[in-house]
Amino acid sequence: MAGSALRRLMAEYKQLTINPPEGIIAGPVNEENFFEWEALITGPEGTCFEGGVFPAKLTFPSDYPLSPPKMQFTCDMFHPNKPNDESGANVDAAKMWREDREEFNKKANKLVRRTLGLD
Amino acid sequence: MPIIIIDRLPLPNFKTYVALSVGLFSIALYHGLNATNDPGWKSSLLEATKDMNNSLPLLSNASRNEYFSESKFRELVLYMLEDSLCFWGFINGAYCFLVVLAKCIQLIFVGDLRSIEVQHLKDKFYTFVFYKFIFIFGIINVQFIDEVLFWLIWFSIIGFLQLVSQLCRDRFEYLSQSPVFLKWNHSYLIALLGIVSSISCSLFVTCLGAGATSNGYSAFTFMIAECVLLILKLSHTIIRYCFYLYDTWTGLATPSGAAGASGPSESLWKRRGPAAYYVEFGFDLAGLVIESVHYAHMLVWVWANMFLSVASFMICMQLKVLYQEIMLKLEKHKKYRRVLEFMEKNYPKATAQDLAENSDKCPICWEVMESARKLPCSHLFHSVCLQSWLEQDTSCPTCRLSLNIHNMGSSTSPDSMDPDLNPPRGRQPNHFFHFDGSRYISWLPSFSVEVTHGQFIRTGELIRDTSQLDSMARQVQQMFPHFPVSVITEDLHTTRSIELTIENILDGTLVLPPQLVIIDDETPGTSNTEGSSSNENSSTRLNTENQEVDDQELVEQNIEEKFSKSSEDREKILSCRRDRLLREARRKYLDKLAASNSQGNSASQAGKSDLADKSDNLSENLANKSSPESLANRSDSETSSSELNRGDQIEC
Repeated sequence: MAGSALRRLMAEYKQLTINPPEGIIAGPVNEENFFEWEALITGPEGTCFEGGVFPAKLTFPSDYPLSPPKMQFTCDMFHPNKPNDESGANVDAAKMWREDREEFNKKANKLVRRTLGLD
Repeated sequence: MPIIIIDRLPLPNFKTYVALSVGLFSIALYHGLNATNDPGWKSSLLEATKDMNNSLPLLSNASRNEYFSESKFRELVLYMLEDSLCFWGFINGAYCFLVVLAKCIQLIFVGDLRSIEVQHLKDKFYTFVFYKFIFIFGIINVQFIDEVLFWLIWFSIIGFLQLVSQLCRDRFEYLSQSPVFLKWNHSYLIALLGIVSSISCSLFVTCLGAGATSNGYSAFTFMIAECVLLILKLSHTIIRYCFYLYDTWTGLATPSGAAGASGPSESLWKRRGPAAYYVEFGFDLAGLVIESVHYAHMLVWVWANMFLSVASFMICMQLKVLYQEIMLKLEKHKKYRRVLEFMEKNYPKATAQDLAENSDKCPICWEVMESARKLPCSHLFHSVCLQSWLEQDTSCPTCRLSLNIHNMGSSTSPDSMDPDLNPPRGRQPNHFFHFDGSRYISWLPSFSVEVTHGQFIRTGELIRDTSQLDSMARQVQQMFPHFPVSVITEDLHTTRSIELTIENILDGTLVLPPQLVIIDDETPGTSNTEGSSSNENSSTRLNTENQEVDDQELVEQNIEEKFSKSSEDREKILSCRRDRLLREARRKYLDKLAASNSQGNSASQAGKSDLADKSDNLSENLANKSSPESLANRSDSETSSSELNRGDQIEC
């Protein structure tokens, strides 16, 4: 029920605030709806996404720990595992990642700059 | 479909509609006044009133006087009901009044509607209008305008109450999801619920009274069924509300002190869990049963009064959907009972020693365990939490050990595992497809297909179609051309999902057969991937080192990180932290850019070296960027970052 989901979410939020994982901030931006969170995820070091701060929206179901939340990046994303409009995965990104790594990195770097508000 | 079409119609907005209706009504009124002043009509009316006087001989003198003083008004009303143009003006006026009333209710009690509430109301409204239209003209088969008018009034009232109760329910669900107890919103909502339910109850009593005196037995039953359904729905919401309020008062639903929930809450949960379940189950089932009886009654009525018609077909469709829903509910309930029984029989209560050893919280709800059940893999959970989990999945939530509940009826030995259901994979995916037909056309069925490994009820067929698998395999192969289709198809057979197969490939779980790897090594593409993998290794090493350093920083930061009890503070702190993260990331990025620019220059001066060959993709990329334009950018952004730092100090 919503009550237990709410308490669990609150506990997780507390954990994330008091003991935040490196480079990740997540929480309900508007607490009127505690089941909609926004997260900022820093691109991991040593990857082409390094340094970028990628915003994402998390939607929790009302039976939360039993069913998984949905997460979607709210910025432009170019990643083989990030679904685009047509299919479950980004075929173009995977192809580019394999065949033209430089182009892929360039594109990723552009995204990184855009998320930082530099472009 | 009908909803989409109606949405596109250019309907007037609220203000113009009210203005138009008021205009129309006053025109009708003016027309009526003019006509009633005409002596010719008056004389004909006088006869009618005389008849009426004769028919009311028992009226006392006083009331008769009153009657005559109001006769002017009565004349008007009588005329307006006679004249067809005025009549429609009158009806429209009444509906306009309802719309205004709805608007008032919304403004006073609820405030702004959320989009999901609007969607629900719209859906409800259009299906209601659709079905009641069929009911009036297809089932009751009204012949006279009086009858139409009667049903119209009845359904307007019932429909209005239903919409308001739907709104109450949606709003309650929304409010109950909020971590703070919004006192005023709740009291308004409770007031609205009270008003609506008292109106519905009085409507029910009136119906009973009217039904006892009149002889239209069937019509009376239809009306009673509608009333009962409405009251059932309202009382369901009210009881849920009571649960919620009870929780809030006992400090259950207010999660401010969540992580460290104290002792009494758990025993409350235990008592409350089954009660809440049975209330939910009872209300749902009762509603469905009454509704299907209502429709069955309609069917009987149609058959008794006329030949088969389209209406009876519609009713049959509706009955079928209801029947399916009832069966689904019963099936679910059976599962609930089965899981409960199985759990009590097979999973012993954890001993005090177990609890002491695992002083942890319940992994499902993150609350302290005072009593728990122990799985064969010796993981502990709250009884209630474990039960609700087992209803949807049959593996241990922590370690994914298959628990094999589906065999429990025949044999209780948990080691008779079906190899088909437990493929030797790291993860056991749940796929959930849901098709909600009623969103498009209200009587289309909705169904869900769940494909789980280790599930006791299989609601759907697995993907058997080989052509579908082939197309999926081709899609994956497009991304990873060095993997042969046969390998991918094999993996797809087990995962049944493109994403999972891709993940397997990226994780390295799916490996190429040895001879293929050798062939592949000769192609230039693989050297690239190898290089990257070694890079990744070194970078992960770097990452772990960095993490250790960062952890120390974090400990220092933790003193600053606070978790406030008030939601406003929390929102503020969160947005502050987000800003800070973004600013720091920006600064770090620009610093790095500057550093790599200088490094890139020195590297190019030093010429080709082994190190440069193996250099990180990122630094290469950044070196490429060392153009005059980016240099200019750098100096710009350096100043901006220092400005931002100053802003940081002011804000946080």
